[in-house]
Amino acid sequence: MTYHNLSESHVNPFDLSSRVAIVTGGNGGLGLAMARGLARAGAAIAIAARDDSKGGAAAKELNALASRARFLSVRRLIGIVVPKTDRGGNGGLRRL
Amino acid sequence: MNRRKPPEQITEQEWHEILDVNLGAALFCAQAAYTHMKAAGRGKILNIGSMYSLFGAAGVAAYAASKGGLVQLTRSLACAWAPDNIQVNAILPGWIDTELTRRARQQVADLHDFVLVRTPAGRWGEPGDLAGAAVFLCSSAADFVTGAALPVYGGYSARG
Repeated sequence: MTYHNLSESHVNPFDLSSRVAIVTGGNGGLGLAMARGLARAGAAIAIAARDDSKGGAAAKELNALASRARFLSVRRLIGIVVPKTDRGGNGGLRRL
Repeated sequence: MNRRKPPEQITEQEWHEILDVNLGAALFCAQAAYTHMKAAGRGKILNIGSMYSLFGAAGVAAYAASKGGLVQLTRSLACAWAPDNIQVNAILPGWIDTELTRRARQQVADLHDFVLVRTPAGRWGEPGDLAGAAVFLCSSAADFVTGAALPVYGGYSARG
């Protein structure tokens, strides 16, 4: 494991260009604002959100920031997460 | 997810919905990411808390329980996954001008002005105010920062 020592490194410590960020709820509000920041820092962005049209629009906007943004439907993520949280139909996740 | 109502009126279903979405989903999304981050040899997980990770209020018992729990979840994941070079932190947004808080301002009289007076910065936050903290905590600059809950709130709790 290597650690960055910023006092000795010439690398920009805030550079995210080798990173991929999955931003849940990243199609609006606080999520999109944080996705913009991560995109400007160079990260490739995967917007994971429920609303397909808002998600597509957010990815398009982020790509205009010279980012590599994609919209991911969260249905697969929900398929993984919901069976672990739902208890006898009480879980709110099932309705997402 | 939030529903404003007195605690004596919260139904079992509402409780589970709010806890599942705000807290349970954070754990199980993190589990889904963990496998890949461990294989990659590094990773950053950023949970989004709330002012109600720090405070309570009469109408938000389930929401505050979920957001307080999210900070403890964050600390526990940070401890468990630090050996895998995965840092887990939380951002606690203050009163930010969003669709959610616009609705809150319609429901709670005087909330808008209360926040202005109570916040040392003297303004509501903008969504973009969170971007710097998110970039920092997701970057190598924060490789030794884990289990932290960083409020981004214009000094809201700094004033007694």
